[in-house]
Amino acid sequence: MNKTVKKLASVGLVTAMAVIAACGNGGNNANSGNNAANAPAASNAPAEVAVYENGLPKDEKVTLKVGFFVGGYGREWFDHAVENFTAKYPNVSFDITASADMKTILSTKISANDDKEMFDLFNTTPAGGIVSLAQAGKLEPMDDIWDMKLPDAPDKTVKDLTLPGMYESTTLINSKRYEFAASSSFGGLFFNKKLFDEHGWNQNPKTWDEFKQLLADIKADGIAPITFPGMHPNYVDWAFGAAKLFELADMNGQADQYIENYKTFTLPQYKSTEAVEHWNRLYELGQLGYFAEGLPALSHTQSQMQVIQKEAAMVSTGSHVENEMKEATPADFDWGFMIVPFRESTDQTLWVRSGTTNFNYIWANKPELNKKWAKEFIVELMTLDNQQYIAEKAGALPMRSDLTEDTARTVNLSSSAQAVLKYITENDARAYKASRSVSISDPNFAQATKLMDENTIKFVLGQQDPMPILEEAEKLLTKALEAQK
Amino acid sequence: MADTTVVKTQHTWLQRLGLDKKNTQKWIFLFVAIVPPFGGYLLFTLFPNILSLYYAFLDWDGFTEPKFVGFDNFVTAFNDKYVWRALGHNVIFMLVIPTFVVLISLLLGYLISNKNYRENKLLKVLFFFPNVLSTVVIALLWAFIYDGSYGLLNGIIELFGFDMKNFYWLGEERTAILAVIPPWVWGGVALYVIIFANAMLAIPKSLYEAAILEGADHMTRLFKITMPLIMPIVKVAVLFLVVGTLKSFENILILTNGGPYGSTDVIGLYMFNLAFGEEYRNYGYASAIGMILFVILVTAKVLTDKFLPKKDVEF
Repeated sequence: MNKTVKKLASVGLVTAMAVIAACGNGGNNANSGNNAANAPAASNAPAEVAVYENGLPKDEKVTLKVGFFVGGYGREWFDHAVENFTAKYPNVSFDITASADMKTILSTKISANDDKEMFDLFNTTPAGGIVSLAQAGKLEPMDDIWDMKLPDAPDKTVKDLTLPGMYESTTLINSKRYEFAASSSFGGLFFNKKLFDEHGWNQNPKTWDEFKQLLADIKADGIAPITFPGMHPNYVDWAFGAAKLFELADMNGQADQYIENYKTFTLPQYKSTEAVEHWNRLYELGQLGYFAEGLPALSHTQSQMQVIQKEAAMVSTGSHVENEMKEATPADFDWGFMIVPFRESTDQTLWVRSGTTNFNYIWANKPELNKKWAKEFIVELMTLDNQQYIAEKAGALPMRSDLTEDTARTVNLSSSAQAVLKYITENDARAYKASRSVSISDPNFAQATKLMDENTIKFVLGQQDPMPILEEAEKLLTKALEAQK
Repeated sequence: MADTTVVKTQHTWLQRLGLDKKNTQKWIFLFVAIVPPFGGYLLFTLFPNILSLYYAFLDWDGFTEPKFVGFDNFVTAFNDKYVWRALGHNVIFMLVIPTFVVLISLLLGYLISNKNYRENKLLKVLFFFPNVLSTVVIALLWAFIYDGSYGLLNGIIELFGFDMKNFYWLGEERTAILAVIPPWVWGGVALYVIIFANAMLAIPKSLYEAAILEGADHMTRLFKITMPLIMPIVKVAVLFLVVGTLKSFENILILTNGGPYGSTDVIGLYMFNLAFGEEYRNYGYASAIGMILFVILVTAKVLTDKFLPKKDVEF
């Protein structure tokens, strides 16, 4: 009897110890494969933890630190998206720092090298671009976002319903995509359609010759054909930038090679056949007096005001112009859009500066859960509701192809957005975003860039033959590339 | 007995450290008075400057691993034509702006302090007004004045029958560098006219009365009494203005962004764009230029001290 009691007591003790041991380890090994195999009840426990349909836990509170650049589209659309998202996922909250000077804030935070202080998510590039950041592993790759399911179209991926060309033109750095744009945006010449109607000017010149004829017509009517902010000469790129270099290369049958050389700074850059032709054409327009007087003194707003006040016919800028100038635009103003055609015949492809804006970047050294929620939020920006909201309220162009193809929805878009979509469809323009996949820090490159910036205005005013400047810039770039090796 | 010994020992020990009650209070006061400002200076001024000196020897974009490049940045800076061009513009501003600011401020200060206009108080407020405006506001205000289409300046000139043909003062190389000077002078005069006027008012009236009794005219009183007595303040003003014109670039950034064609570029703006530019960013090279600027500033200070009259007069 005593023996039986002892045996029972021993078995009981061992069982009790095993239970205690199991309980003690349960917390630490809840997710281990061994435990899952040996203790099905324990392995089922995490599965019972409430998760959303995206697989992320409901009970873990997450605060996403967001650096939001307040640009031409404002922030109302972003607040709307955040409101929707937090209503849907109450465990996620946002800590937003919004500023028009977000680039500087980002640069300072990045240089401080404090991952904890850094934003989880931000929507503009820091000063100097993202190439070196991505190469240093500081940014989270975003290739997977393109394959994520859309919350409002669960049978489709982001890639399935994005405008054609957007995926392809997302910058690749070391074969990975580190940015994701929630809206599309296009650069070109924006104008007042009513003014064009009034004068009977051609609103859709198809070739370079037709375009030059249009400029001559405008000038003959006593209005400056083109303006842009000369204080920031790179604004000329919105209408005449790298997309035109690609168009010229395409006309020569070398678009792919040219784009690759452009991305990697393969020489020649400033002295390439296409670059020389490009600047010579601008110089030609300058000599004919097709750019506004006083252009070097114009700020961004002043140049756009010139079009609103009918002092200039067209401004080189982006599709954000309508929202940016909405307070100053009279009621009878109707935004029109055209791309500068460098092509010589309509069977050649017209290239347009694409095309993406509201870039989103995720900081790599952040908790995995934060990064996952940041990606979920980016995908949420792609829902029809959010896309429609930003298009209508901020004037941005949507990224969803099912929205742009739905006339019932596009009718509510801003006039500039409608003009852009109509133009691109009618002209079968190829959207492409120019980007570099190599970063150069040698000061000779800074000098080359400065040389080109300062002389851009001289070219477009017909005051400087581009060739000597292009040669000098090429020499500086060559030195920079050699030093970089 | 034992307790008394301990107290005595402690007392002796505190005394040895000079920490009796009176001294302790003194040290606490010195600590509170010196440590926060000096700590702030060390942390926010000296430390970043020393760090900049270190950065000047690096090839570093602020993001990636810095690379030590020795004196390469300095060599590049000395061969960089944009550095010399910008410094040339700084020298022009350094010579012209302090001269105008000091002369105009002295003239207005003298009028306010020596002429008993009824509106003196109002004039003081009006003259001081630009000083309460930020550089950004001043620059924007003058950008409107210089505008080709709607600018006040063209409007005034056209009143005299000249056709300005939408002339953009900030858009022409030959006028832009001259056009950025008046806003700078206007903003500077605002502060110094008040300083000079108050310094002049502080001079005892008895000195002027004695001079008048001895037949001294206005000019004699100005150059023999007023100017010598306020010269220490003028020297400080010149020093601040010289250093300020070498360092400042905010107004240039807003008025012209260094253009057209770099004709108003200054060293501070060039350095800023190298460190925080949209297309290019190199803290190392920008810091090297910053170090060169530091040497220039110290030289300017030494030269200012050397060439301004040293003899101070007291009353």
